[in-house]
Amino acid sequence: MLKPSPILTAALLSFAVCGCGKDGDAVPIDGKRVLVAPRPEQRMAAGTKMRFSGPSMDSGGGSAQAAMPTLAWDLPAGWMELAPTQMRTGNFSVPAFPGLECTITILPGGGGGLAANLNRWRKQMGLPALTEADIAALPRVKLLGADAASIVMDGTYSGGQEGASPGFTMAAVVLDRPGAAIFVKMVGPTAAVRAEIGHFRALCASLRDTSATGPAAGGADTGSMKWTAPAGWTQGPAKQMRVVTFVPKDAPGVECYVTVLSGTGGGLTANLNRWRDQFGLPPLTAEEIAALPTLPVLGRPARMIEIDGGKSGLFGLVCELGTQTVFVKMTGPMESLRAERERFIAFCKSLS
Amino acid sequence: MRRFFTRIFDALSSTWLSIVVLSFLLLLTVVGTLEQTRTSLYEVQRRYFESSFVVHDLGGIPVPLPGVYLLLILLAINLVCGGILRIRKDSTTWGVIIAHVGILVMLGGSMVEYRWSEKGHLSLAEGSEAAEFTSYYEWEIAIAEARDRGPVTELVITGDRFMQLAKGKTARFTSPDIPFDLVVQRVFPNCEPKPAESGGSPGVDGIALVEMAPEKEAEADVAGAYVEVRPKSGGAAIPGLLWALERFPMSVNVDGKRWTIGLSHRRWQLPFSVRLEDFRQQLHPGTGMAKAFESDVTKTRDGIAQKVKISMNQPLRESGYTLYQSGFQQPSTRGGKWRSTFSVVKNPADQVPLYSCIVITAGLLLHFAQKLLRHMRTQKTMWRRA
Repeated sequence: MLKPSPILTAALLSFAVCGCGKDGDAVPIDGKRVLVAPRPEQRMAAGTKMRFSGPSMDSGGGSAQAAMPTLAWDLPAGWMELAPTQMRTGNFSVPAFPGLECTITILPGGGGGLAANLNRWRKQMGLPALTEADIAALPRVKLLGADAASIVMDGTYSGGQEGASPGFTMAAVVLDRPGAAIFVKMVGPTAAVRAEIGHFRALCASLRDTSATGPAAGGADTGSMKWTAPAGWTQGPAKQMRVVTFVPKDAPGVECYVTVLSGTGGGLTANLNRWRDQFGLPPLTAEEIAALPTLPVLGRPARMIEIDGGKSGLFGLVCELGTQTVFVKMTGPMESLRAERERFIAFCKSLS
Repeated sequence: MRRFFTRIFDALSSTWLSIVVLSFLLLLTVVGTLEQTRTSLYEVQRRYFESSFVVHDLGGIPVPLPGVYLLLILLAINLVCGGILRIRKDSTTWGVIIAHVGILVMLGGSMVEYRWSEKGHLSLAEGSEAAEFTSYYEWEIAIAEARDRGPVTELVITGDRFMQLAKGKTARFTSPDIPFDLVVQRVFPNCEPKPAESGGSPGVDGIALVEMAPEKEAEADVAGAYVEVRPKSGGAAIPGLLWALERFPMSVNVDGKRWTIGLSHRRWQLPFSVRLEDFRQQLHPGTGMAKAFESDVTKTRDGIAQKVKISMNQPLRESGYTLYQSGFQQPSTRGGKWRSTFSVVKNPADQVPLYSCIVITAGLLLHFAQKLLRHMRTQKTMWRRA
């Protein structure tokens, strides 16, 4: 006959084996691992809004996504534009001065702050750090209509791949605006920098934020746009900058929306690569962009891109209409995106 | 007292206990399998097969049942007491004893696998290399000093230490390697960040985590947590949110250094790196269904590179880890790169089922052979007498 007492004993024994922790007490962290290099995402000092900007967050108004500008500029005479990189939105060289380079970088959330970046550069130039008072006293120039700190530093440059380079000069303009900091930097041999400083200033003066020229700014006409919502998609609340937002019912975390910007909206290449950059992916070359599949949208072939960022991703479509550009974006967990792919394509094709 | 222990031993070694335990195991196998139509395989495994007790929902009626974990412990005790210690030991029972030992070895192997195995996946694009793999279900919080380059030491808090936090409870984690304590205040197995006003929960910088129902497939859950960084130097506590799909980890400045705190699926480092050189797939004729697919990889350990092909029935075995070809992903652009996914398993007891089956088979063969010989001898005697 089965006795209850042994069973109870065994049950108590099993509880002892399972064990349980104590809440609230200090628990030592014993897991440790060494990485040969930091993870890419650990290098970014992003604020809460930037960290969570994405499908489920409102990207209008105060979100960091909206605060990230899309820059356009006029290329100075004699300069050559290179392909952008993950960190460099603008990347330039000057054929007349081979050792000279100029870059435009946009970092979300302040990119670590003005003082930290300026002093990091000064360290690269072998110069002592500036105090807050020194930084406050730096001359200001106009960048995107705002006052940006400007600095020119002579010294031995150690930030390049060729080791310490004496006789170098770095010129930089930094705009620390809410949500994103913009860095325009030129570095090279002193004589070259002095010769091109006028062009550098002209580049800074020509910078413009094309993301601010959407419907809210009155640049694009979206009132006549029509579409057919795929089965299972429900229209979301109206949001700033967006023509319409849809939320697929069976794909949690997925959101699809249409934006119309005047002109090129920053350009096909810049937008596609900005999207890829948001997922830590390298930019596409012109050949790769030309090879992207197209969909017939609004009577024209529109480029479609599928960005697999691992956990999450983005399906995007850019339809250039000449005076304005239509963007359709669907973001969310990658698995859900794949499930909604055909409906996304059908939705894009239904635009009229 | 001796009588008490004798009664316990008798109960634990009884055939009745074997019958009860095996009956419950059969019942739980049935209800656990049926439950998979309603919830995920992972959740069923956790609730029915890895627990001591489970409350089964029988059409709205809660039915308490012992969990398979408890039943297997009882079965092991029953086998030791009844099948090895108590059993009559003579030449006729050696086969049975050996078979019982084989079953115990199998149960031991299951325990080793449950406690110490590592299972996850490694996904690589052609030309990329990695030396760590990611769990499908388990979570971790990783804390590291933010650096631009060079080696980084990550402190890791595994999910088993914070995912089961009861409501209203907190867990404070500390280490001499960091200048702060991390307090995990509230954990959601599946959640989504929303503007604080829409979530109904307290937010951080206007963002709140909103709990969501578990996904049908547990690997699609996205965990999140409210945390607080408490500087040891006594500065103000810094509240924060962690979410497994966040684009960047939480970043805090404490005592002049920047630290990152991120929540993600648990990651394990491999003692070797794997680089995907090429991926190939073969389709069933006239369909888009994959018939076979394989990957050419370069495995590098201690600076020694070795080319290896991993296909569906040909895994890569190295240093106790096994990499199986489990999936692939087509390039999203023309001329883009294929991505290959490998299931990675480290199971110290992966050969135990084979060995235990050999032992059980040997024990049963011995037992049946003895029975046969005894029967033949009896028949022979009967014929002689006839």
